[in-house]
Amino acid sequence: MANGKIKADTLEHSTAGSLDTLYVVRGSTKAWSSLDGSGGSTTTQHGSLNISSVLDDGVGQYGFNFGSNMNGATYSSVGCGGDNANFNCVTNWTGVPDTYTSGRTGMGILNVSNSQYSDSDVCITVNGDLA
Amino acid sequence: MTDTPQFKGTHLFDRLCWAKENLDGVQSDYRVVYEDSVDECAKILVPDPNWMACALQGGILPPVEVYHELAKDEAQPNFTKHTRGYLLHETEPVSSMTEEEAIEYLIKKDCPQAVWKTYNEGNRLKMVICKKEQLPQTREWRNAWKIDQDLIAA
Repeated sequence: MANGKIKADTLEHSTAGSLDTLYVVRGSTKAWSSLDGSGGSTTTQHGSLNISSVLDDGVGQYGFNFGSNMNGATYSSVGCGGDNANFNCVTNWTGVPDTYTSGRTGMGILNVSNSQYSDSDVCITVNGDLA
Repeated sequence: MTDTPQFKGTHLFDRLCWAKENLDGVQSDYRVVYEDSVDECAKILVPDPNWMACALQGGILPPVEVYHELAKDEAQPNFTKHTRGYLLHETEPVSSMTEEEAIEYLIKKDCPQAVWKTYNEGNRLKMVICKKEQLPQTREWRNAWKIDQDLIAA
């Protein structure tokens, strides 16, 4: 069924009830990226969806540009970094002007022990409504 | 080579999902290094492999000017959410690009306009396109990286 299309407003289970497909459309992830920002000078991307480019903004600081814009700067981006428990993330990051817009989000990875930005593996997921 | 469906009128997100399913990613060796503040280190833009595959394939991405129109809307003081998102989906997609043309498109889309419109004006060159091998091979002193003006002059 290549390029086929099913149009439905509701999915109904025989016993468990029904689900409005709007939940699926609005609730699914709209962008994600996984990359290695720790090795060498050039970011290595493991995988992504709806990302046009990644920005290496400095130590532990990354930007993500979307291919298909969100409908405003009110979406949620959630990320994680590092390979142990000593990293915290700052997402929907506004540390740099124009970083958090409908076309771009950013994140910073903080090393908990000394509160400094740290290079690490980075994952980010974006939820919200598309333009 | 996989044929691109007629995508005009299809939501751009759906096109990108199709591309991820049907096209092999292309990791470009090109990097764009730019400085948008004298107080900050140089930033490095890395093209996404899935996006690059779309650019090389053609018939998927909208003209870059569409993104500029949306940016204008977003810059309005009373902006809350986009009302012209249809521009992304209903504008005729651009045809296939070379890798170099794709990088130019990406610069216009993802670099600040204040950088790429005046990259060679003023006292410092603010942006360069290079191969990843030309960047430092470790991240030592990453927050002090700047574009080497002497190297450019040479």
